[in-house]
Amino acid sequence: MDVILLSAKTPKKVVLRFLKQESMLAVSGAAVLLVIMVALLGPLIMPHDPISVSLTEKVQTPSFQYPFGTDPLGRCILSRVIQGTRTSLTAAVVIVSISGIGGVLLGLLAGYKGGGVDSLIMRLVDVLLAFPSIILAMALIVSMGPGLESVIVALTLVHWTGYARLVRAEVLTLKQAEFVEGARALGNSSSRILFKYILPNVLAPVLVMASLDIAHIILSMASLSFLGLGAQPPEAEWGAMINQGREFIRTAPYVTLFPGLALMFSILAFSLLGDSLRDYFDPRLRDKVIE
Amino acid sequence: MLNKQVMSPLLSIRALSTCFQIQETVVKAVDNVSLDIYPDEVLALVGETGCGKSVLALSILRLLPENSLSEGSILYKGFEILEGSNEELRALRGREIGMIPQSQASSLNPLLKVGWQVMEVLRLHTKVRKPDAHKKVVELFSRLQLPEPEKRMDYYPHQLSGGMRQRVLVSMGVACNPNLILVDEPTKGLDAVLRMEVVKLLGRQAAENNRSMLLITHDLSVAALLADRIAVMYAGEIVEMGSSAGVLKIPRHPYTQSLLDSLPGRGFKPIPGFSPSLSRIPPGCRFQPRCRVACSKGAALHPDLREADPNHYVRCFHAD
Amino acid sequence: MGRFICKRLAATILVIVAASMLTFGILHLTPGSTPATILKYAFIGLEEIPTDAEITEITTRFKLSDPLYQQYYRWIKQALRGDLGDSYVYRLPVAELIGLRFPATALLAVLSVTLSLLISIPLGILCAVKRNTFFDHFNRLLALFAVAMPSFWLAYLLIIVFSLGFNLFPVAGFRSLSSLVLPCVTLAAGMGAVTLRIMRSSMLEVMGQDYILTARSKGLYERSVIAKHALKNAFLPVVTVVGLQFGHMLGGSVIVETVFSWPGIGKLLIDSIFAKDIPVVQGCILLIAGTYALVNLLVDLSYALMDPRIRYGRES
Repeated sequence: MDVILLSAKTPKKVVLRFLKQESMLAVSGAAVLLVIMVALLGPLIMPHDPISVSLTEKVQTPSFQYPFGTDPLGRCILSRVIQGTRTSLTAAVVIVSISGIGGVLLGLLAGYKGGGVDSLIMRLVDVLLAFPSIILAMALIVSMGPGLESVIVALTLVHWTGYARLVRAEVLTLKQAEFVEGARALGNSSSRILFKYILPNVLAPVLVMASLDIAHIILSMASLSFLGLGAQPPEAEWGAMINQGREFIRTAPYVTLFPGLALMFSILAFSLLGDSLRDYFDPRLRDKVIE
Repeated sequence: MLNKQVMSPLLSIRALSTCFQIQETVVKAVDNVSLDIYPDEVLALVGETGCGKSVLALSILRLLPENSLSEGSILYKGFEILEGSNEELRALRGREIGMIPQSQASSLNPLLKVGWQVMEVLRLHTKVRKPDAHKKVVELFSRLQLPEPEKRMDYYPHQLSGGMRQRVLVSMGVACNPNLILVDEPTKGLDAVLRMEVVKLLGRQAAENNRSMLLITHDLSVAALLADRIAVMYAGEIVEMGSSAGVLKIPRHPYTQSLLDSLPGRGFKPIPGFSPSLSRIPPGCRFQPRCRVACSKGAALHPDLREADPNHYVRCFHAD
Repeated sequence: MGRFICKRLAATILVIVAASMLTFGILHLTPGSTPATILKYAFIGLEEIPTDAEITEITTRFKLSDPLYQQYYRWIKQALRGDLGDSYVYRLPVAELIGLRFPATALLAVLSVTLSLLISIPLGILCAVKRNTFFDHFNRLLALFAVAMPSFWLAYLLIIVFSLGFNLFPVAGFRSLSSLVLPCVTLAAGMGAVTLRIMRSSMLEVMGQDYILTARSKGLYERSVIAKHALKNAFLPVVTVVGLQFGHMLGGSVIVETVFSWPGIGKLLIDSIFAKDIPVVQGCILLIAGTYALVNLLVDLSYALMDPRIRYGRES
């Protein structure tokens, strides 16, 4: 209650207060930033070429030259983990952007138009949700042939449903809201009402979903690559790298350990960010006062 | 009325303050409230939403969430509620002090039959066996004029109308015949017809059983029908308290006067402005910014609650 | 209630039919199911170049030149009689293959769900009741890590520690009961973590409801407030999530079965994908979608059994 009024003193104090109150948001935001930085700066911070094979230096234990050791083909695991960050993050961002924008648009359409359009879109969503998402993605990949591109297409086709459902539900509530009724009474066109009045109000939950979705997609992608359906050699991808270390878990566990750690860190960072964004946008979850 | 004041009170609240800590802000919902409830008396606590009246009721039963703190004294039959153990409090709730909660729509457990929910409180506090408890609740339902009481026992809350749910809540609060009943906004969310029915119901309840009642309401007309005494609350503190007739006929506090003028039958005039946020209470008189006779003294100084007439207390510089 | 069951049953059947069309469409409209690919993968070897005669033979044998809807109609008609076609690779009826493999997956799934619920539900309740204590923070942190942990990586960590380190459980295969432990724990971890978090937040939500205040105002013991008034309400959202989680688990079983060489449906599916054994892939996916739909039907029905608002609907 009136926290903003009380705290509006100096910018520094505002930032400090924010960090203290939203420590989870700050920590997860920093972790996500770290992942993004590693992906952006990738080529600059890689000690070695992630692709070139050196059969004389295969499966070496971590050393000063190779901090994470080398893989069964003598490639620097650290460089490959960094390259894997680029692979995963780029793909995840592409998938989330396309499926997110597509899903939001279809959700707006379904919720606002209602009727036949609505039932057509929602029945399609129902059918897609009849499969566990990774199984549907596998079916799509079978038809397109294994590879990172197929994974991107498959996961995009699978993931838009969540946004469509979310946005549709929000639109159905917002349609009844007074400010929307007012805008309609003032003679605003449908598209103007949709994009000017309704869209801004659904962005927060969409953002939360997108952050959680990136975590989910990174995991699905790694799983598919682990199964051999995603990234193909010599591409550096965490799931594929873990798969490659399978035969060496007895002698060289670090081959699977480091890509796994990177994978888990990224998933943790994005899902924590999603969770804390949700708490941040939904003050209902904070302490309540009676009356 | 006056002879009651000589008796010793059933419940005696002294200098009660209840605060909530919300993140780094402290909200003082009840501020230095003192009041007595005498045996066989209906005391109405009147004020706008958010003035702290419900918090006061929950403080009496110590049912507030963990982020709250109550200070002062609440004596029930000489027992200090604020210092009682959890078990002592538990035994008091429902048995000695009953509560009829607000919002009939959400105060009943949606997954349990209403008959069972009322029987639960009976079986907990009295050593009555299940068939007898069942019989007693049916009796209670029919006394509260719930149509087809036997059948209603097996209904779930969503199968009942708002008025019926309100009756179920009333029967739950009075089932063990407690000495004091706290009634929280009994008319909230009911239409005019139902409101009158509930008021009649409560009036009969109070008259028949000779029990004390703390009636919490924002509606002065409900208080006028039921209460022996009225306490008016504003921004966490009591601004006027006296006999029902005294407060309604010769209101001394400008807030009470404004409340009366806002009643549909009395001009329907709304009070300008908003009550202050309980986390940022102005230093002077709390009603001063909205007061029709706002004085400069009130802007700077906080008036005390004084006895303006015998047994009629007012917190206003104009009442001196 | 009867109407509700009929409606949900009809919806489930519709979804399964639509899912079968989608699966069939995806798998047959693609380069993966041209006569040449089928020949190469299943009959003559990858290096060979199929002759025109062979292609004609395969096309007529599997009636691949018919319009897709006719192929689907033929397939679904047979599927309804329990005939899912023959595997290109194993030269066995798909239904028979699935019948051989399904028990292993079902055993794994049922045990994992049971294990995860047995642990996560009580822990979730306790975390909510002891909110913001060390116990709560510790378990939430654990759940957070378990949610973020990729199952295949967790599987390797478990193998490294318990199979290679302590030599407690076998690395792979299905020979004895102890073979079940690691795959079960791997599958249960993720699901349990999600359930724990939902159970906790649902419990907290319920504990803030008005009817809990009513229950307390009656003078109930706190344990009765929790047991009689809070738990049942708090279970409602959990039931839904358990259904969804079951779907995730069916997907996850593909990975876990691959890691542990578990002879179940998941392993069969992935092997068949690489062998381009389309009839088997189709059968497995249909089975998984069907199981998922049935589980969700059961979830909806149990939800209705728990919630009188659905069971009886509104009067007047």
